[in-house]
Amino acid sequence: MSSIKSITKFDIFDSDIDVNILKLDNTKVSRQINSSWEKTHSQKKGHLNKFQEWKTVELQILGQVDAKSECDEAILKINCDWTNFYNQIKLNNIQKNKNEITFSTEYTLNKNLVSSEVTFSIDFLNKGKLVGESKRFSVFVDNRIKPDIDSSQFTWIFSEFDKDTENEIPAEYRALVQKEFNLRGHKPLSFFSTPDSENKLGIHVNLSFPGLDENLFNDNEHIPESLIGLRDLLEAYYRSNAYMVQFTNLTFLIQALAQADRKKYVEEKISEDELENRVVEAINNKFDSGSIGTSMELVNYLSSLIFPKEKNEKRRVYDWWKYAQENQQLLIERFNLSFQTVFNPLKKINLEEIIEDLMKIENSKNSDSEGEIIDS
Amino acid sequence: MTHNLEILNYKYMKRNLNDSNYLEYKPTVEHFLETEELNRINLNRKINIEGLNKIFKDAQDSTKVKSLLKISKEEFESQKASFTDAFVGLSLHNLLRLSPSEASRPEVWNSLTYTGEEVLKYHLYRKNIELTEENKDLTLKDIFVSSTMGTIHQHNKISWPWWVVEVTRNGSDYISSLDAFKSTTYFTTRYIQSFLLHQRPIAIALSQYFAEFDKEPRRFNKLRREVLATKGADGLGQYSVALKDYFIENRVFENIEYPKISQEKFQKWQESSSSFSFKSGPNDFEVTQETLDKLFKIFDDIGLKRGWIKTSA
Repeated sequence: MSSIKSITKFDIFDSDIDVNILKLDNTKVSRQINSSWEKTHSQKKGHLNKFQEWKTVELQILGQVDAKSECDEAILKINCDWTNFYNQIKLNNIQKNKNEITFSTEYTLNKNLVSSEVTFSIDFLNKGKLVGESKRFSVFVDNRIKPDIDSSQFTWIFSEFDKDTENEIPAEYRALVQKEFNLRGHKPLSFFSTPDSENKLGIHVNLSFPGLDENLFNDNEHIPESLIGLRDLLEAYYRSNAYMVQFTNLTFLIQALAQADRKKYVEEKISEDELENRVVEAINNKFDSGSIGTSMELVNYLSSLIFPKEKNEKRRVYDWWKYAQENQQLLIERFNLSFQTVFNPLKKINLEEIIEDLMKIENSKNSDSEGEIIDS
Repeated sequence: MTHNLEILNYKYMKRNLNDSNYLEYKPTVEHFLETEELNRINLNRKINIEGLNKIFKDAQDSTKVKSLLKISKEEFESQKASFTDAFVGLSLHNLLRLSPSEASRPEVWNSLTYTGEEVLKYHLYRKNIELTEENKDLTLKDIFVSSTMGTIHQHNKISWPWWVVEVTRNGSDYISSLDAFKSTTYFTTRYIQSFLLHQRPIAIALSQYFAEFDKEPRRFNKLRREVLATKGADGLGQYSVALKDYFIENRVFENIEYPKISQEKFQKWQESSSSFSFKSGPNDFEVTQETLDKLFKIFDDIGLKRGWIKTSA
């Protein structure tokens, strides 16, 4: 486990979580399984989906926090969005030394209760007050695509942009994609349709693009290990753009609200507190309609990405509106960074491994060609 | 002899069904998933569907719905859609005995839809249940469960009621699930994907709390629909938002007792079968009355902070 550095900002101390695999279906795991599990440890990921049929897994969960925190309680939170599963348990075993306090427990996870990604995180408390929050450790239990909020926020649509038949790119976008942007020598990778009251934001993947295959993104497909890196990079491209469209689209909608109140504030007829109340109320009213593409939950969630240090939800939503009025450029600068807090590139793209794999292929090609006899 | 569900190939359906052909689609053996594929998606258990058509036929008969739910004609008429969903959710939960992992797969729900003619008829009935104007036709979107979380948990009219029942049952006791449906479709659709409802004690307590909310003598000067769907005086928007805020701010989650779930008992239930009763669920955990009482108190306190006024003790 990595060493812990104390931050002490806002009395929150740096902390860590580790999840080790002990048994699969009550049988101690082999060295091979253990070493496969350890491969993604540093990225706080565990891949149970790599192992063949299992029903239960026994895990050891370790939590560490800086000793200066005087932490006396650690609570493990386990969550799976796909199955609405949540549990929390106190970590009982405590060991202390000069530098850190370590908590641990063993936990048996039953596959019946979960699917896709199960997250483990620990809150560290001192007399009930939060003194540390671990990162999330993600355990993937099957091959379903990662269940980010993305999956409820976006719809992936695969179609051949070059065709004009039904089930290909929808007729309403066809003129834009096929005529206006039909630039010589160009072929788009993607198109993003903004959400309306019934639809989510659509990520349209162009299957006319040479080499693009729907199966690459299909959770039911076993794709070769060597293609996973490529898939992850493409996914980053699609999701990054989708987030940018989502942020921009919502900003346009939010920006237009509460203009009369803004005028009153400028004329000093109302205070900023009053303005904030009115703005948040207007945004709530606009998005409370529960449409799929643009719900208030989504606004709240995205605001927490744009303003990650602001803990007050209402203030975050107000700040979004405020920046949209006065400081659009500062808001835009936050968008791409916000996306990366969800699509954690460090966790999701193992660039070193991708490069290593490609180099191996390159080297094997070179060594093959070295053995060839070339006629001169 | 039981009749088990054949799981259909999701990819085939996704690629080939469209608005003009989905009603004529007749699954054939080639569309059934093989054992290896079923193992991979954790759908290798035999799922009994004996009586499935009857459930969907009965769901279209108000007498049957009232009888199973033990509700009066007036009660049914006041929330037809919600009680029909309750009937379907509870009956499917009892018949299929799905684990949450199985129920999270779109393949299960799409296969059910094409298992018997009554299921498609029910989809059409449910779509039009409370429409006063001209009836609407079904579209593929109404019946097909795509592989997104929102469709599985929230939008499809047969998977969603199952999930409402699953997250709000108190072990073997289905009364709190009926309470969830009594708390209106607003509650069961809007709150279902909230993180709060992942947490069994909170889901059960909220269901019971709102089912009773409008009962006379009323405890507060507010009606359920105002509380659920409108903002409060604290500027936090809807009640669900205020709840989440309060729970996080005050670290309430850490003080709730979460029940231990017994997989042995759940599996024993899965392997058995019985006709539906309000006590026929899996006896795999129990949220105690003491825990629920603590939560009711918290819900009251949050309400008072939002400007509710007590009208009786």
